[in-house]
Amino acid sequence: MSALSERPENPSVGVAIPHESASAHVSGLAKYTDDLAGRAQGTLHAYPVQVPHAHARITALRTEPALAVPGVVRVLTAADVPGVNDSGIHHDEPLFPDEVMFYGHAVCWVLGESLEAARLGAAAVEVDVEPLPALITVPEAIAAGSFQGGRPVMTRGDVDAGFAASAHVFEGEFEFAGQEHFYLETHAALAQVDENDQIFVQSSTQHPTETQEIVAHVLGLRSHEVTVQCLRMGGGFGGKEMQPHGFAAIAALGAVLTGRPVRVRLSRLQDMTMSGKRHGFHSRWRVGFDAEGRLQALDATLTADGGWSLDLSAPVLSRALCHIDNAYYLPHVRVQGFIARTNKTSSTAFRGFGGPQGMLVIEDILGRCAPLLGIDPITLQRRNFYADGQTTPYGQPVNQMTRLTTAWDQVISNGDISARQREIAAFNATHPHTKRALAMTPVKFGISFNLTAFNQAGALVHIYKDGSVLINHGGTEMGQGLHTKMLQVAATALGVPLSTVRLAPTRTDKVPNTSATAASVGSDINGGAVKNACDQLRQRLHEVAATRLGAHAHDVRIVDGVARALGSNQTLEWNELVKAAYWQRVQLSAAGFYRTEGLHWNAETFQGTPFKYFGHGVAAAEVEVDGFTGAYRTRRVDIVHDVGDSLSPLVDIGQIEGGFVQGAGWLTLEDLRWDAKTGRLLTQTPSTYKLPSFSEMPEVFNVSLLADVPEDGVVYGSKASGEVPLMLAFCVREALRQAAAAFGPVGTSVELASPATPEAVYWALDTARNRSDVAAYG
Amino acid sequence: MYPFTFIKAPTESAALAAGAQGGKYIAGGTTLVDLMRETVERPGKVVDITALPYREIESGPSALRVGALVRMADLAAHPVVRSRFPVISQALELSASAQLRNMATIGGNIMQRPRCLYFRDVTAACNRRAPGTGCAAIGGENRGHAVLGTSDQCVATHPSDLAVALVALDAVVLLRSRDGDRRIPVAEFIRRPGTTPDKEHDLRPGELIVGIEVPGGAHTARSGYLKVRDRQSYEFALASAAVALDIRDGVIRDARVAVGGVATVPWRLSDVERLLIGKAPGAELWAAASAHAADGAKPLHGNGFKVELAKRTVERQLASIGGAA
Amino acid sequence: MAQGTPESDRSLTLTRRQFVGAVTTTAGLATTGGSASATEDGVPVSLTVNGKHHAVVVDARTSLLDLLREDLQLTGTHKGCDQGACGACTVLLDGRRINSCLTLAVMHDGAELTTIEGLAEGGELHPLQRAFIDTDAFQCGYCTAGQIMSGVGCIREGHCGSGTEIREWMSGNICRCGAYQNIVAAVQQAAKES
Repeated sequence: MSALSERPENPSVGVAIPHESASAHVSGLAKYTDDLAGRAQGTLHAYPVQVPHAHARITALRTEPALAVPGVVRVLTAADVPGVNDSGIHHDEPLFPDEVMFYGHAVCWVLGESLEAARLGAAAVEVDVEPLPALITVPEAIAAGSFQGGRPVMTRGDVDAGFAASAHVFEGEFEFAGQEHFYLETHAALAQVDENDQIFVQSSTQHPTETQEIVAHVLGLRSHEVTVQCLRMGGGFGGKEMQPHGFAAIAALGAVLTGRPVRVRLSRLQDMTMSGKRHGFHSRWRVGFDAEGRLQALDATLTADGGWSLDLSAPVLSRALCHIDNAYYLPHVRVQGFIARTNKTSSTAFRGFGGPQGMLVIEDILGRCAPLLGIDPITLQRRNFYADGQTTPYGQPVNQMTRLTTAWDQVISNGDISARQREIAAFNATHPHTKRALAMTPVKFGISFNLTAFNQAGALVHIYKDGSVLINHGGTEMGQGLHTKMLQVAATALGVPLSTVRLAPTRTDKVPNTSATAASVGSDINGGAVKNACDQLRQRLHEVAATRLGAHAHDVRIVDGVARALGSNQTLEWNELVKAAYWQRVQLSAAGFYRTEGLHWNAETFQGTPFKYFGHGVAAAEVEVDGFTGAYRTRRVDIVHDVGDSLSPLVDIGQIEGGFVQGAGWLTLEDLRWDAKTGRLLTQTPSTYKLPSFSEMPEVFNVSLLADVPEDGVVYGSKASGEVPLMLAFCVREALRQAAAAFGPVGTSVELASPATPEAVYWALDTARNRSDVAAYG
Repeated sequence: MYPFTFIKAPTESAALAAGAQGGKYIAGGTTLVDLMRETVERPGKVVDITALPYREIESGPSALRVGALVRMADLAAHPVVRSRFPVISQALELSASAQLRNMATIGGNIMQRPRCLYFRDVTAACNRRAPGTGCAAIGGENRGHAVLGTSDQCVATHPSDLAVALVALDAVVLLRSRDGDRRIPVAEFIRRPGTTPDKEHDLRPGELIVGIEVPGGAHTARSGYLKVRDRQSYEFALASAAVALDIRDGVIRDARVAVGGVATVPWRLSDVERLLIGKAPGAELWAAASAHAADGAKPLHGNGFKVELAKRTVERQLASIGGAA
Repeated sequence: MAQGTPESDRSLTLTRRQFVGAVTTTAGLATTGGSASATEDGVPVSLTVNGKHHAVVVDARTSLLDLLREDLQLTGTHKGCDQGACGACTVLLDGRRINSCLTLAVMHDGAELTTIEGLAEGGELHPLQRAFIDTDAFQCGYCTAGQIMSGVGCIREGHCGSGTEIREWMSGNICRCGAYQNIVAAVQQAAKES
């Protein structure tokens, strides 16, 4: 096991500890960005002027009426931008646009003494527009040839030969919408020019470095003149990976121009109508199976709904293509990807980042085809698993299938799957109006940023003279427990109790050039960097301890804050050791760095080894469907998940449970809809966009971590946990499909819309119920 | 929210005087504050009536009387309501969330305004909010809208679950003004849109709801409310059914059936009731009777499923209350 | 006044209220700078929050939530949706749990409020606060204050008989991180102690 992965004696990692901000959260003392607004004097409030047209040219913008409103201080427009009028990194997103690109696009911002003044000011701004034709849906965009970004093609083998050799060939189409993040904390930023003339921005952002870059280039400044801090986010889920930068730039621009702090806090309606969501996709596929149901060939087209600008659509599409295999071996593949440009909010990152969408396509294919093949779905899935040594369609070797098969077998045994399937069959035979079903889902999800250059991270660790330790790293906390894990890593690497270590908020002047906290690699890469910094300090302290203890530096051990030499009873307390080091003029601060080794990717050929490893999980869900109404409940879910050697078990279990709930929400409840004529977001409130509540929880929810599976080459043998669990929820959708099919004759293939709301389930079961033959499918 | 003058009425006469002068009453505020924030409602004067005494829950031999200021949570939890009028406590507890039920009052609940997104959007065409501007829902997003009781002016679903139970039980609204008291059945108080969708309630200027009265009877105890919705909790109904049956000696003596979530007003199914009365309970009867639950339905392009769903919801609830045999 | 504009015009002037939607209420007169802003007549409101008496003068439109956050600087109660749908703003009003975003501050003259900051007594965490830590009942923490206040209400109301009952009676509180399982466990744990 490599030095990075090996755990010392009595490590802090692996211990189930509470979240590092636990007591602050339960007592209401933990601050979020907008909570800080009351601390500054003379803060101005910013309010956007949103234009209700999906696509229009602005022919005139009159801000004078706003300036006449009492309390309005200034209206920010393109003319105010000293640098570049741009809020994105692709230069395709003007901060102050002259062309409205989606319904609700903000064209200027009003600064007021109060929120009320700013709001009234915004209402007073006059915008003349010339409406332009708009493309709202993906099919419309495809028909119009409205695309953006690249058109990757992933191929392996010869699909025509594959189809020729197939015993069964099926075709289909599947379109599904994206997902609204609905982080409980909406977008927020607070900017001021500080006592050192530094532009200081508090931002609810997963990517402080990029926020800093955008603020700097809007203001025409260099990065070192801008500092961005993210204290914590009340949820991110990918929605704060790129979307916050423009809001931070508005706040910063206002602060610079007025000399006063500026607060931006989007209302829920503004957030839902202005910020990007998960990409919806349209897919067309043709699949071939051999006589035993083994996948032979897949020819598919995936079109991502990119919205009006590129944002992260290109890597999302790449990841979708890279995950259309999920856990299944596809000998002959051809998948073509497109990014549609539509007049809607710009789709962005969301937990899974295209992976769930690619995987949804193959799971939907297997779900629809299993009954047509006459093969039980669970058997069909298992039969198609990769074997170690095979490669993915993009060329990455698969060599940890035993993790997946072990988890699969554990779910089958812990979940008592065979017995329950028999019970379900008996139940269904005796209950004409209620049906149950049980389905399983395997997940294999690639971990690393697809773009190799992002797989780097930094940390800064200080040991103060009194022995207390302060750590900084480039990752941000959005509830995923990253800071908790980093504290555990630092404590483990230094050999001190957790209480010795404290974490400072993420700021660009502590660690520069950081990557987004995304791709589930936050703890991998930042943990690697924290450990690197701590290892440097440890090395130096071992030298100091060695002289004091009369031993060789390599024979020194620091455990629970006490240094000892092997084979000796002499001890040196941490605080003494640190003091001694200071007086010896040994550097007690270290900058750490980590880069993920072994990655390479050729975007042209769509080949390489883009992922450091795969995360794995398996879930089984049992549902019960009411034949009268389509309403259903989830009776039981069993999950076994591979997080390697967990850095922090409570955190990882929380990620698994939470990811599952969020995935289930996407697939069963959350129905993101736009008005096809006007492009206006119809589901723009939490009363129309339905989030999973307590009542959607499965009645029985068993989650366990796969044991004894340390991951060599990752910090302390751990694996990512953030995104992988979201896809586990597919088994709920598949169980609903099978339950609907149970209302019809054996062998009924069911097409199920996504989300599988009670209405969608009802139509599916009603179609099955009325079916008199099993031949054709949709 | 537009500015307004706020008055707290210390007595009934002060409240009635303020109402007569055009003041808008507020009690729980869960509908009004929401709509004021969206600028759908723009009262110049808001009159807080929470100091008034209408908090009784009195169950007499012939009727249940509930004061207008009784909170939803308290009515739902009342032992007499739970045992003698379970359809009411169930309808209440299946509504909103615990927090909202602690705030919202019975009087406010029956005055609830639609959830239609066009009604709630001041830039959209809505005859109910702004007479004469048209109805954007008819050709727009109307999955949640009504299939019964609609007109070419408005298709918004009535949102209250309690009102469905009250209509099923022939409840009466008790009104007071400076001119005196007035009683009107809930079923007439809540109006269909017709050609005047803005006139939602038979509430005269200066009138204040002081309570409701629910007639007792042998049918009320064997009753219940079924709500079908996308999410299992805290959501408005796609379809719902309030059913009360008086079954004695194997015969249905009295039946009350009303559906919600599918009509512009709580929809009493008198035809279904007539098919049930005098018959023996059983699955075939439920199927035959509920087949008429959507008679007269006029589906829109997005809500056709409600026609079937209404029937099935009634069938399901009849079986639940009357026995599945 | 114009409500909605025909979309067929080539060149449209969008005037006020063309895109309004759900607007947040204004902060009270006592802004961060401490000076009263020149809006309509303020309304005096006295209430007791976490045992401390406050007398303020606020714009009648101020929600109870904004009074707490903006005027009293009690930022522990969070704003998730401002329309009563998420429960993040839950506080105890005269001992009962309510959504502070959907009620006007001026209606609660004389009321007693408990917010998350006032739940601990004499430095001792409330059993439910302790339970939330014990069961790891949060991730990002933004819904936590509302969950805890709602949980305290739920326990007082006696609706914690089973996991199913807790789930139904806490369903007005959304947790996007999905920590529901552990929140139920926390409420169960604290309910046993009550």
